[in-house]
Amino acid sequence: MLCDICKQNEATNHYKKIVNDKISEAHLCNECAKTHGLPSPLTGLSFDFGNLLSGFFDLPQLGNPQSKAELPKCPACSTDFAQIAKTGRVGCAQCYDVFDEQLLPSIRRIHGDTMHLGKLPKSAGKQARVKAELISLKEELQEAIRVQEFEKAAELRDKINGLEGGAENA
Amino acid sequence: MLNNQYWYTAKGNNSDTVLSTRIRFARNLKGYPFPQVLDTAQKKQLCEEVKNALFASSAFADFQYIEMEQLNDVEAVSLLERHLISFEFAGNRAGKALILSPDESVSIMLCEEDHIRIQVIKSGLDFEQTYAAADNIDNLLDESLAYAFDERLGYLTACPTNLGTGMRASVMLHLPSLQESGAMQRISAGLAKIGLTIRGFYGESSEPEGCIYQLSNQVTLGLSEKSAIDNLRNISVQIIEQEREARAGYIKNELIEDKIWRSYAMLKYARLLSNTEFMKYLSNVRLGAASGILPNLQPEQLSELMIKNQPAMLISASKRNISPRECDILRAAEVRKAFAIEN
Repeated sequence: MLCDICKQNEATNHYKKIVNDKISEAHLCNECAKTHGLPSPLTGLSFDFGNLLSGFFDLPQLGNPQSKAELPKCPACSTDFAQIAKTGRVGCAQCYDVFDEQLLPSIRRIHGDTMHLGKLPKSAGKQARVKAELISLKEELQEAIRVQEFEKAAELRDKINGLEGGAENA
Repeated sequence: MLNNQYWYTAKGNNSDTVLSTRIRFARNLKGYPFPQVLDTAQKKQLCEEVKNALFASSAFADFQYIEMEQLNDVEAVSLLERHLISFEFAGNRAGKALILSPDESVSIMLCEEDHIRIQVIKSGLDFEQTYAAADNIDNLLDESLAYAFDERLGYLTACPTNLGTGMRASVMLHLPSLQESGAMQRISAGLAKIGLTIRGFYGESSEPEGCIYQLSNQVTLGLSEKSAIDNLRNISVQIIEQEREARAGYIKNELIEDKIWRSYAMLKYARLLSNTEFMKYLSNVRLGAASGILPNLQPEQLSELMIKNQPAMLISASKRNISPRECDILRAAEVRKAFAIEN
């Protein structure tokens, strides 16, 4: 099959785009794929997957008279929310504080819950560790009660009480 | 037999349907903006910091440190074809680095979308060992580096889709019978409702070439690593069972048996094999091997054949620049050679 654009070289890159069930196809050689900035396994790997995610975010209202210069920026990395909405990525850890209000609805839409459960880095500190362990022990307790393992449930309850006592004293 | 068993050469559990299991952690350092805001010099500085922290531990003594911009396109894409790095990482390489274990089971991407992406990949269905290895690497890095973390949002990541555990667990599955039966769309729609996602061979937005799918968790916040993996394991097992059930009926059909043998003949005798064609026939042959129609072939041999005959892997092994046509000739020759020995 010859390339759709130059009609000279063999087409070795095949693209299929599906938008609302409408399929469009393109068959290009490596050179033409590169000149048109399309992703190919061997040339011009430049496809920005971030674009696919940007639909998740609520862009600031279009037609808003507020000019770009007035958009609040993150003091740490100078990213504004329009950039975040466009790329689907925040600029730095502090962006999550600065744009908390704008990001939270999207985060809820992606994940549902917004309270971290699971591993903690050592920087998280002792209090966070105890809290995390309590959550996981309480889950285990619920499960033990559900499957009627009362001996295990009693052990877990003692552990929880111990930790809760310790947490209060901390 | 190779001394180093790569994921695609080792014999894994449930190799009739499962190619590999993968765990990935996204981590960022405190005090640096995320990579998309960094310029090349800053990226290099960050890579250097992680490199120094990591190689201070004897656990990493035999790991390789690769500056991505030292690689050419073919070398970079061949890493992608072995599923050791992402599409994005192979493409734009300035300032980025890769840390790779000798058996390639651990690959740590520096300055991908996040500062650190720890990946462990193992053959077959094996969440326990794969998670344990990734967890161990993560703990070692946590010893000497300060991770960006928030009690409510968990590990802070460039993309909010990774917040929380920053963990993506995935299994690579060969699902020819479910694909043929048209069940994949229904399965895919169902998975979205339970926080999982299924996509093609090379991950995000890729087509399911050779009936190979990647099933992974989507939700990372509010769900512990253990719960996410349990969830994924349960669904993987169900999908594997469904594929096996579909196969049992499917292979009795003489049209399917014929398709498997014809595909085998194509691979055994063809003089030109494009990658798309190769992947299509190989999928049918893999189904034949897994279901006993082609008794002399093992599915894991076919994983090795598949990976080694991807375009960049072939060009890389030939050690010269070859045209797409020459690549197809070489692929056909390699495949003929492999099948002549096996049978």
